[in-house]
Amino acid sequence: MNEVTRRHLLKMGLLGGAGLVLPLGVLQIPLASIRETNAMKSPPVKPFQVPLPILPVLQPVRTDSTTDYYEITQKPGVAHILPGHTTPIWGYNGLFPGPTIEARSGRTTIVRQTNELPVPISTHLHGGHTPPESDGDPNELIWPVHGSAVPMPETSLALGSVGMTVHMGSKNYIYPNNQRGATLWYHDHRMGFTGPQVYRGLAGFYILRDDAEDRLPLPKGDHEIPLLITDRIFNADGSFYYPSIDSSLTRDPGAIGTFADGVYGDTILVNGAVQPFFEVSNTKYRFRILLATNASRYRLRLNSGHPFTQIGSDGGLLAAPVRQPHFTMAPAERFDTIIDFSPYPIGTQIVLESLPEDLNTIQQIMRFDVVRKEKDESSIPAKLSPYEILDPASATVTRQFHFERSLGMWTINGKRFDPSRADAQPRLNATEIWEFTADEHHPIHIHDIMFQILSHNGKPSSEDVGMKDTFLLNGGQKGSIITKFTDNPGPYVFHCHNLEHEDMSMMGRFIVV
Amino acid sequence: MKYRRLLIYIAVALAFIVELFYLWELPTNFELWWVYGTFMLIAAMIQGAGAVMLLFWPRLRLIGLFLLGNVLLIAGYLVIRVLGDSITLGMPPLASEKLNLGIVAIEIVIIGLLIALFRQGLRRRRAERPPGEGSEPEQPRETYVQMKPAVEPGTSESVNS
Repeated sequence: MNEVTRRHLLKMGLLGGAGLVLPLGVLQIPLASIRETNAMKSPPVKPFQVPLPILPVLQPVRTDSTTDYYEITQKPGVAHILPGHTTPIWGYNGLFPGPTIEARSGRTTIVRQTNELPVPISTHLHGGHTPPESDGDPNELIWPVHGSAVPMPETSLALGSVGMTVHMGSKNYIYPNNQRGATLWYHDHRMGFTGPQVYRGLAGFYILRDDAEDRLPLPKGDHEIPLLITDRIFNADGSFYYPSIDSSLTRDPGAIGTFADGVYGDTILVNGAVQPFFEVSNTKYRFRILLATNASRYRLRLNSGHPFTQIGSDGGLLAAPVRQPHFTMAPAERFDTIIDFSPYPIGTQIVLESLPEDLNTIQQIMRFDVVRKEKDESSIPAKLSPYEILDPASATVTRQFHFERSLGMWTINGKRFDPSRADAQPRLNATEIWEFTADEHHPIHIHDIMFQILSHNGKPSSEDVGMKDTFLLNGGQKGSIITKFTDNPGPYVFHCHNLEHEDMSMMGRFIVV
Repeated sequence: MKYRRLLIYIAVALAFIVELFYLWELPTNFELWWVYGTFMLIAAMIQGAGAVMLLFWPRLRLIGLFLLGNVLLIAGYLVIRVLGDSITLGMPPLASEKLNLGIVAIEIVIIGLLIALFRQGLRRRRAERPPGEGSEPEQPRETYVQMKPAVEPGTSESVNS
């Protein structure tokens, strides 16, 4: 029988220390970080304490007979969101949300984007029918004017670092605006880091107007209000909390732990203010609602029980208005609606709220205070703006895409994004049907084109009307869309617009040939 | 023997360096995906436990196991970094940083040292094996027979059956 000596104990202790205790000890670091992240909560804020900010409209630096020229500098700024605190943001011209660009259908807009942030950027015009070189591809980056700690051109995890194009300092985005009037928006689209960069503030409206819409007697001027709804988690000091794996955004993309499913904020912001109030007259108002959350879906309704009158969708006006008692919105979707305050007596307060969707309880978004009487010169016509209905029989190709989580990454057809791989090659002017299935809710966005929803777990719902660029499929659902690929040959992407899914590679490449 | 101890000390030192690298990478990878993190954890455990066992119990079987563990780690690295995960996810190879490549180089050196130790151990075992055992074919031996003097008449001797 061997005797247990001190020497033997020391050896066993070293074995246990190096092989077990040390590794398991280090494991506590990420586990603690994940626990802390999951328990994160914003400081409470009393709702309806601040008025709704009206977003500033950006003025062109010059115009000519065909084109309006804009200049935007993306730079750090400070926002006053929580009472008694300042919030460092990244913004277009240092603003959160960014300034609104108003463009006209048929006139070209050129936006010169300059990068004074510490990281590369890419700016995507969401809903824009845009040539590929101005689309804001995730791999076409504007490098910071002042340099960056980001290694160029590859990062360690380098999700899709193949085939990057880099512009030094600034880039001109050319938008021909050869499409219907619509509520579009521009936002950051950097490969692997769209989630945190949009979260820090890189999002703004791009409202495209056309003559057909101008002729309609819809509410206009100060009765036409863009609402950018989003949510955030705040640190105790008022700064945004984003659970990045790498908070410098220079190396590893992705979010920690369960936030890889999506970053759901606990504080709702409208136009950059926490649950604001908006004073209205007893007339009709048009609200261009954009859900600019990273991941949350909202199911909007008015607490008064009155329905919305939907007049438009992602791709512009509907053919005819639709009454919606409530309306589900996914990240990036737009809901163009008219709320008629004439039935309410002066002094009434109506709350726009979200029914439980991703949040467990009813969430108050903002409040409308009916404070004055006014003559209403607007009306809602029975016919709005017709558009061509695509015939499924004209489709030459049908493609299938399955959005699912696989081996810890978000994938399409079981594959992670590879920008050098074409997942589809539609022909120019071809009409195609794309069929989607989803393992859980994924808002599917296709660049460059607008589409019509053909089926959504059977027949499309009343919320699937109009021209769309984002299609929400809930878990286990399947759906199909029809679209036509016109006049913009070249590479584009389609992806899940849950920005954490997108950053974790749920994206595909299609090339119009 | 001195040469063998030197090889062991070098392998042990390198294995501890690689363990520290895996431990350094563990938190980020675990936050990225628990499977990546678990791989790093197991890799660190293999290196740490292997180094201590090599230092104190450099037996042939343990060296073999440690060698196998390192070969599997290198194979995993090469699949991800060089070939890419083309079978399951169709992903391109991940970019390789200089530090990662340095660690792979160290692991290759460890494998080389372990092979040398393993072969040395095999040779020593064969050398120490009693004659007649083992798988090596027996060499023809010369047989020496001691011739006893013939029993003389009138004497006696005991006979063992």
